Amino acid sequence: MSDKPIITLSQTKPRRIKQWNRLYGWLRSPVHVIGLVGLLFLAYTIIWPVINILLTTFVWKTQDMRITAETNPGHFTLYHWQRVLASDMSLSLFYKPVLHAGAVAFVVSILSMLLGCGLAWLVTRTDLPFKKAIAFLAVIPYLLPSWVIAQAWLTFFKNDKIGGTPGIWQSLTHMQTPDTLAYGFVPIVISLSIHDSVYFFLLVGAALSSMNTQLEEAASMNGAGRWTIIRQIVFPLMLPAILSGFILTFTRAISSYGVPAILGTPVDFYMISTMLYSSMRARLTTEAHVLSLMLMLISMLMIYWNSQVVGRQRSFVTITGKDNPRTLQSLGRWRKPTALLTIGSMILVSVVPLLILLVQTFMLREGVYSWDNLTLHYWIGGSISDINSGEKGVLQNPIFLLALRNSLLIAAFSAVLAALLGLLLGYAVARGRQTWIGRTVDQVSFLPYLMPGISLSAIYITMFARPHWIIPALYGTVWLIILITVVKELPFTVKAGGAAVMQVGGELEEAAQMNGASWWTRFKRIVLPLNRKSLLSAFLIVFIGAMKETELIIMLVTPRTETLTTLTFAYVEKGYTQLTNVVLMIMISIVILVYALATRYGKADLTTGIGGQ
Amino acid sequence: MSAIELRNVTVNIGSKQVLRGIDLQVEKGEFMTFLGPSGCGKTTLLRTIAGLQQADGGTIVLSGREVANGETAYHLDSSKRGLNLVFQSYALWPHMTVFDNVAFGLRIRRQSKSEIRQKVMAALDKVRISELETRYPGELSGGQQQRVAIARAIVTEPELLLLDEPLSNLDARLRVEMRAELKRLHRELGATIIYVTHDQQEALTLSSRIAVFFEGKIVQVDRPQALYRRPATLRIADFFGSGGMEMNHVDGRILFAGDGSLYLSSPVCSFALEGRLNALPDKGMAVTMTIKPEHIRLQRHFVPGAIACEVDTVFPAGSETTVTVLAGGRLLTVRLLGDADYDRGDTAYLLLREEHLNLYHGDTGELLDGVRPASLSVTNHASNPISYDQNHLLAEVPTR
Ligand SMILES: Nc1ncnc2c1ncn2[C@@H]1O[C@H](COP(=O)(O)OP(=O)(O)OP(=O)(O)O)[C@@H](O)[C@H]1O
Ligand SMILES: [Mg+2]
Repeated sequence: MSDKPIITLSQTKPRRIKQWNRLYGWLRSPVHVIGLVGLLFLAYTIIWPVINILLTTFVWKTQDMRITAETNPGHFTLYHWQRVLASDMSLSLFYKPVLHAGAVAFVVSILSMLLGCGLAWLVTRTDLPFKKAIAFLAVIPYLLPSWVIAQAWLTFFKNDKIGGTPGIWQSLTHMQTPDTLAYGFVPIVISLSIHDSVYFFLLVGAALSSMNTQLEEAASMNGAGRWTIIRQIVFPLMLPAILSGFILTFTRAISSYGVPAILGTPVDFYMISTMLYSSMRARLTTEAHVLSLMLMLISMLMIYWNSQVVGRQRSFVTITGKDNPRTLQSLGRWRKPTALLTIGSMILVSVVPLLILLVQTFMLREGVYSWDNLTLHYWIGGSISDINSGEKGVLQNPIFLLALRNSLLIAAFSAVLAALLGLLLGYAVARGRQTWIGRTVDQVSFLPYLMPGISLSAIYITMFARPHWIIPALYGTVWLIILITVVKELPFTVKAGGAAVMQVGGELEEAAQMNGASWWTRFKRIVLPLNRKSLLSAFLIVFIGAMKETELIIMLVTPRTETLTTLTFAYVEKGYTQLTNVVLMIMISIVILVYALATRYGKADLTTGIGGQ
Repeated sequence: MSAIELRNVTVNIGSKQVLRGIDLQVEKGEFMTFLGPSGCGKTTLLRTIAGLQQADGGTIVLSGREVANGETAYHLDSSKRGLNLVFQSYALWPHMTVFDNVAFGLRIRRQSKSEIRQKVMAALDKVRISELETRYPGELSGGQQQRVAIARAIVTEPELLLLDEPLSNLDARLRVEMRAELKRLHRELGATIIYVTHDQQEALTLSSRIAVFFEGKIVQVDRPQALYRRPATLRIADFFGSGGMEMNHVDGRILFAGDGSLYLSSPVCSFALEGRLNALPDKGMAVTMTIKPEHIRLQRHFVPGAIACEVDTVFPAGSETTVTVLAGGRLLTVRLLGDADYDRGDTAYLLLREEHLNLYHGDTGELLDGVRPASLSVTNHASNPISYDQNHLLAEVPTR
């Protein structure tokens, strides 16, 4: 009996040492540390907020007192859900906006697919002339906020409905533009499609150009006709790229805010996002949260469906990475007309709107087309009380300078942070593929994708309004906007980072390890330099995204954190057309400049940033 | 003190046990080769020794220092093990020049610039590519890349150098050239080298000892000559026979003669046995006899002890000729030096070199160690081997 403790001691000691060594070994692996820290960050910035607002939708709030007497603050209720989903308000609050948003998103996805894939095919697979120019023109709409096209549309087709000066069309023809053409479904779909077809163009283009044409030639050797080849060889191989484009477009379109706000609101055409925004403004916070959750649910269903289709296909996406000798499809006598038509329509959608907006900035009064109407007032003028209620010319306006500073600050910081974070988390995902932590990071970092920007910001307002734990109250500072931008872009940057790290074989790092390099040295000397291009692409994507971001931050900005987009948007709402356009012009010049520099000197590539190969 | 001591090392990857209890001792200065078919766990063992893979069980001791222990989950970081590894893929850093690749480890160790320069150039000299220092790996041929990889591994003067199939990506000529270079390097460096390959020629030429692997286990460790002469199992013998060195198999039986002596009887030949016969069971047992093609002589005229056969096919290959013949209804492969003037259908006579005959247990496939043909007892059975009938033989040799 007396020796019993000794036995236990001698038995537990090795076991304890083993557990200790295990833990120590586990924690010493950089993949685990990065993964763990990353998961904590993701849990705090994504999972916790969603759970949090899900819970609040089931609880009575004090504000509810003004709506109903049943209110019992702090207690459980299904009232909010019932109010949104099954009350006399539901039709206008929920069902109509959902229907509108769904229809818009669906039609936009189809249209963008046709436009984007067609263009991608023309550029990668035919002997079309001026390919470089076409590829550049095709990317321009992506460099602009999607609602710039809406704005240009309105300048052209505006009618008397919302007052102010009529659009160019009406001034020239003296015919009233029909409402259906000027506002609502049709122009929303067109504006969004023009903007979103870029995703298809980039994704499908990349897939097409890396696909070996010998696959097609082999089929044609076997006697397959051209249509059979497209249907049986090309389409199945392109399916993953097409589906990712579809999902990207659909989720972006269904939660887009800027375009429906400009083109839908005048005719009471609401989509979920615009409804969400006005609910927030009307202080129906909980109802807005319910709407957010529903929007997320729709996006999730969509992605689930996508993964069902792609999951089975992915196995044979073994498109070789080599630059294959390519046989180009000859367009024959259609070569010139096709080129002309393509370039013509691309100029129409990417250059003409910009020119219209630019010309407008010099017109003292909108819609008056004469030489003496030209002015630089909106650029450099002082305050004149009967023009735009005395708002100064943009370059004179301290608010503009503040917004410019904020925008650059936000875009630069978010881009650097998001690219680095993406690379780090991508590292954990790529190197930890075999471990639970790598897979979890992979899946969780994808969540912001499902979360419509406007929902995320609705959550963040509540979350960061007050200081809590060690986090100060971020609301009202640019840091909140930087944080939300980084989080929202994570799905793209982590995917791009993971794909890039995957290409740097693990042995390159192990070789450094053999030579005694610590993890940090390995990362700095091997991983980082070898991923420079991907890092720069991620930076570019986030920078452009942040510069033109509207949905995500429109609810978060305060007068101190005004950005170029929100300033423009405020001008739009007040009807200060020329000022809007001036700010837009400046913003677009910055984006195009950065894009040109990054692609020219850094060999950055937009495609890798949005999930292409 | 051994350079490496592995005791019952096991490694699991996923749910699969890749290494199943490895025991091995490697002395200082040895050139030890791991040989085995693809997927048998050679790379995994190398990575486990290097510390890139955790051992799940067993212990690894390098130069008297324990570096991994599966029981306590102890794992010393690979950078502290005093060894270096040349990867199967070379793993050269594409964004650094040859010089920077080689200098990497020295820079990590914070050596002075002049010292680095001198050591790197010395290492590049050793592998004879000092003129390539400013190139990038992408601008080098496979053989040059391999030399850079080796230079990078030896520049920090590790006590133990691990090489994972470094020659597998090279063409035949370069491979032979590099073998000589590796031998020279081993001599000059004096380091312990572990070398992985699945090419038995390479293993035989280079090593001081060879460890043969099958499915995560070491099945034999021996000096090259011993391994070549007496593979411990039929499977090892076959593995060594692969790749242009087809091992000849002849199934037979051990029979007891009336006088108490033992005979091997097979369709091709029969002979008396001597050596450690006590270990054999007393009933007639099935055995497999093996002999390498180069250990059979073929000649046109009969001499005592020769076995008649019929030439089946002739494969000339310049310096040597491979001939397949039918003897006792079995197809045997014979390798001859130089040209051979035989045609299909010719009758010829075989002489087996007895000292190279091995006998394996028919069921377990293990070598019947110490059992050998009694000298000069190999006999020809039939003047017409093709119509040879085993029952006829059995009737001739009385059983007990
Ligand atoms: N990362 C891994 N995941 C799953 N299984 C693995 C992994 N690495 C190795 N294995 C398995 O372990 C076994 C041994 O692999 P190892 O690479 O050590 O073989 P090898 O002897 O080096 O082969 P080769 O001669 O082809 O290089 C193989 O069956 C392989 O399938
Ligand atoms: Mg291997």
